[in-house]
Amino acid sequence: MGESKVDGGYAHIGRPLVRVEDARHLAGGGAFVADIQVPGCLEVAFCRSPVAHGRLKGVTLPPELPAGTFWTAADIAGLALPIYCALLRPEFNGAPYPLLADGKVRFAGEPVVLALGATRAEAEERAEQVQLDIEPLAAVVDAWNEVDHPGVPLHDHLSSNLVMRIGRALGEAQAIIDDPAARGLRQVTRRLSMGRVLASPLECRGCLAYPDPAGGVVVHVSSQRPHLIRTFLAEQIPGLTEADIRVVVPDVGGGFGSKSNLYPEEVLVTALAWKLRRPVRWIEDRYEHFVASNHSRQHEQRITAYFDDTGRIHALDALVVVDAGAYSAKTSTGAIEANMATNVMLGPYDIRNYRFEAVSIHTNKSPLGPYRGVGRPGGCFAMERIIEEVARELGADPLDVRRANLISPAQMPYVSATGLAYDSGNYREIVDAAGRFVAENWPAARQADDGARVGVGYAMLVEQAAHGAEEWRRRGSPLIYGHESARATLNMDGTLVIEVGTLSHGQGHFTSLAQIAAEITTLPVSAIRIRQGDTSAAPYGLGSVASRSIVMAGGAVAMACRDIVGKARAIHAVLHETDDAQVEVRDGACVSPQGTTSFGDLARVAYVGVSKLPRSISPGFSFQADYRPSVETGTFSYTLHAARVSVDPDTGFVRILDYLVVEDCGTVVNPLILDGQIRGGVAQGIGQALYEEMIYDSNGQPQTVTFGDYAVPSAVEVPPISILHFSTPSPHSEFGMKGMGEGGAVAPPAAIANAVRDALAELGVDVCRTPITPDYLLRQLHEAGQGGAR
Amino acid sequence: MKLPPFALHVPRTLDEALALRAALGSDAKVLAGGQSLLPMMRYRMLRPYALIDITRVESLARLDTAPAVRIGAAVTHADVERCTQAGALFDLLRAHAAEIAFLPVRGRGTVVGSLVHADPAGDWPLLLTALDATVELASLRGRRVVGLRDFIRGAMDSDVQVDEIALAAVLPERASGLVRWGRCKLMHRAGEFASASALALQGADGQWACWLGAIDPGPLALPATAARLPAAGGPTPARRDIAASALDEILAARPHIDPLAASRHAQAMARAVEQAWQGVTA
Repeated sequence: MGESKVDGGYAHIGRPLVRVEDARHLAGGGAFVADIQVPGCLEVAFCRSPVAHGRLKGVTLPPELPAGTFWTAADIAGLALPIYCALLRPEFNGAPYPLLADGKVRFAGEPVVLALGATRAEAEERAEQVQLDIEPLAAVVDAWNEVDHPGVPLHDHLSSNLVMRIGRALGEAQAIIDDPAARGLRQVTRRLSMGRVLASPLECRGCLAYPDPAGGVVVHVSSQRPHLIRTFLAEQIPGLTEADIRVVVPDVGGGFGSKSNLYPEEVLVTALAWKLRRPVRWIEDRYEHFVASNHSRQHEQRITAYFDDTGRIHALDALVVVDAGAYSAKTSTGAIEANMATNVMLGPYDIRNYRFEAVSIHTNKSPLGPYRGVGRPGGCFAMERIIEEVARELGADPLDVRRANLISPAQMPYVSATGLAYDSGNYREIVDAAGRFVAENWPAARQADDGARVGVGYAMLVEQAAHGAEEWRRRGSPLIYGHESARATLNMDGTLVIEVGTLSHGQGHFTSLAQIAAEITTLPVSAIRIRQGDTSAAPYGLGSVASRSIVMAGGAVAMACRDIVGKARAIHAVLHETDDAQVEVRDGACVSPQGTTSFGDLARVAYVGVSKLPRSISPGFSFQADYRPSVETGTFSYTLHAARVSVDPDTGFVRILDYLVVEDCGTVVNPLILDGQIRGGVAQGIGQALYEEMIYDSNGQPQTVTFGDYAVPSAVEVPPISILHFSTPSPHSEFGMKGMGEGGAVAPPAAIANAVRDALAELGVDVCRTPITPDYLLRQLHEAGQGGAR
Repeated sequence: MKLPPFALHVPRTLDEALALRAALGSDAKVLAGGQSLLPMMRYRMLRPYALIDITRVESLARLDTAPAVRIGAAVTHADVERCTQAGALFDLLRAHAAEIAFLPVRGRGTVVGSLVHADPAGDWPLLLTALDATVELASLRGRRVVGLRDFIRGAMDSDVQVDEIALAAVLPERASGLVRWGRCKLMHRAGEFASASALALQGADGQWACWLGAIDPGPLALPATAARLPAAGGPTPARRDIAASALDEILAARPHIDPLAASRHAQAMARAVEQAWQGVTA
């Protein structure tokens, strides 16, 4: 192995290694839940509620089919429990998520009856024959309206549809808002909306459960968090213990947060496999994903900035209302989105006077859950749209107004007004870099040859990631995701197997975690295998969510590998009768003046040559490490996105001409994976900005249930993305790494909205919503007497 | 959603296909490319008990280019896209086919299927109506030929009797004399149904025809706009004038149309004319 050092003086960290897992997937060699062959498997289809809200008065099952074909709420009453999850905050009003609707249905698509068949097609045919007697009730579909004009509560045990309402006025916010003129401040307000979207992974959800011949049940589930699913299934299914459940997550075709919650379907499938002692499988189809997987975002906001003539923002006032759907999903709850958005809204700006109110509302829609960014896209949209308007009010350069408000490097570490403990960063550096790049590379013309208007927009983001115990406690999370574990085992042939509790579902951990292990052990990456997903093998882990894996699992891998190296040195020292301090480790071997021993030979001694080992060194060569960060408030990557767009004033069509990301996520383990994460995220962000919206009509009927109606961007709509890297290592993590998995998807709605605003401002067009549809723009153009034939 | 159970018949000859069609009647649907039919069956919007797959009937897979263009019922969009015949008409046919959805759809979806389906947003109803095509149909009772402008009776409604199979779309010989053309398909996202689609065509006689698609209930001719276009060329007509003329005609013909959609159709028309003027036929 070479000794060549890359950035940071590391041998493996920082190398642009092609991902070891890709060849298999590109060759079609992936194995997903639906690919697993199990003889005698029963397939599941659901009869789902056709209405958004109603009293379920009766269920008529086709009489000719055998008993055990259909399962209703009454049938599963003793088998499995409704899902419930609450924030540990007094303001929280949650509602349990029934496995099958009982008494009431609360969103179109809610499962009511489970049907079994030999094939999915047969199960669907059977489910179609079920007749539901539902007395429709008025649907609650407008969260903003619900704040001031509350309707009938969806849940009988609650007095309103309010999931949670929290608000505070920090610093001198209240005094400034009450009388801005007294301080000579101006103000600008926007009423903003961000559409409801969903994650749309290539592979939908799915679950297969079957009795384990050795006892208990094996569950294959497309999930981001195998161990937590095991714990939850044991809690939901009376009589089934964690010791009886083995969760094995196979390949997962994307999750983006949508596979981090516990869903009714996987509980039902496991409970039935256990009860019937037969394999049972449910594979979500795209229609089900649209109507019954967790949705995300859907903000209604009112944002006001109070600023002086230099562009300095003295106070920010934010009201964020989020449409939380019908139930509180486990574990995200219906309040996560609004709370997070207001918590992170201030971003890179030094704003101490901040009044916010975060409101989450129960509606007759599929429950809200996490999707890449959770709350951050909404918070970023609010902050970055309003700072753009501050610049516009002043006729100032939008980058200058940002510069006037940035937290300076001298202020680091910095605790934000909402209590986020920013670890490190030089925000000014990325603003300046973006300004230079745009000036040097992007044409300044405001109008394209074809008459289209051209504009440039910016958005900044500070991305809290890999937060530990302290941050989760502060949020009131009932579960604390404060650590991660890894077990490293050295084999006699010199290979190293590392089992981790995180779950790579496209993030490239099989490569990046191996690079960390190679860095510590000096073994080649080709000798290292990362394993995940099997709860009977991997140490308990909390899964891959919240951009935590590289810091948390990476930290655990580093610790476990240090233990491996420590033992190797100790055995080498014994074998060569030398002192530990004399031993060097390189190229997967221990080297001292007396000789060289490969790791494989040292492992051989520990396994089958124990006679050579003194009693002071235990046999075997396996170490579990449990990483808990020394500072538990998270790492803070930061990013600036810039977009150059053209807008056709005659049609309202928007085209992205150029896109730039300037980012700093500390020490980078694998730059190829980093760029891939950024580009994939930006593509999803472009979808939110211009195309995607899960639409319900006034009766709560979902209107977008295919990719024909719900437009995700294709390769044609995603422009080449330029990326500039900076590196300010975190003082709190191994190697100075920072999490960065979500940021790519966070800033595009704001950056693109600002660019469209810039392009059309002279024509009297404002941009206050996503998706920014052609009709939204064309209507304003017509109202302003612009565009079109007239 | 999975397809519901159905019987699949795969005739090898036209006679066999027609006999099946006569025997199965309204219980059966004809399956060609299936790009609309199968999704509709999955969503239970249609529930035929039998499908007659006509793609193995060899005679239906022919694309004839002379003396007149005749497009058999099993000819796909991709077949048209790949047709190598020279001439303005074929340039137009290729350009039109190439902008339908994405390649996997074009490789299965058929031209004639799109006419029978009669989706107002469909691409072929627009172009083949503008070119004044006819549709050949057959049943055990015999054959008949219907002008496409009569064949498409409205949105999702075409004149196919329960025992008939549409055999081909045929262009009049004069279509081969096409001189200049321009087209503009506005799509919010690549590969989607058009939000506006326009054609400007100049025939061998110098006369222009202007047509709009992606508009309910079916393709719309804009004769007054076409009449403004001089036969002998000359300076490019101003986009604004063409758009204004087109908008007037659209609003007169479709008074209840969404004004935003109307203005987008008018823009598409103006751009199609612009393209025709630039002589983009190579």
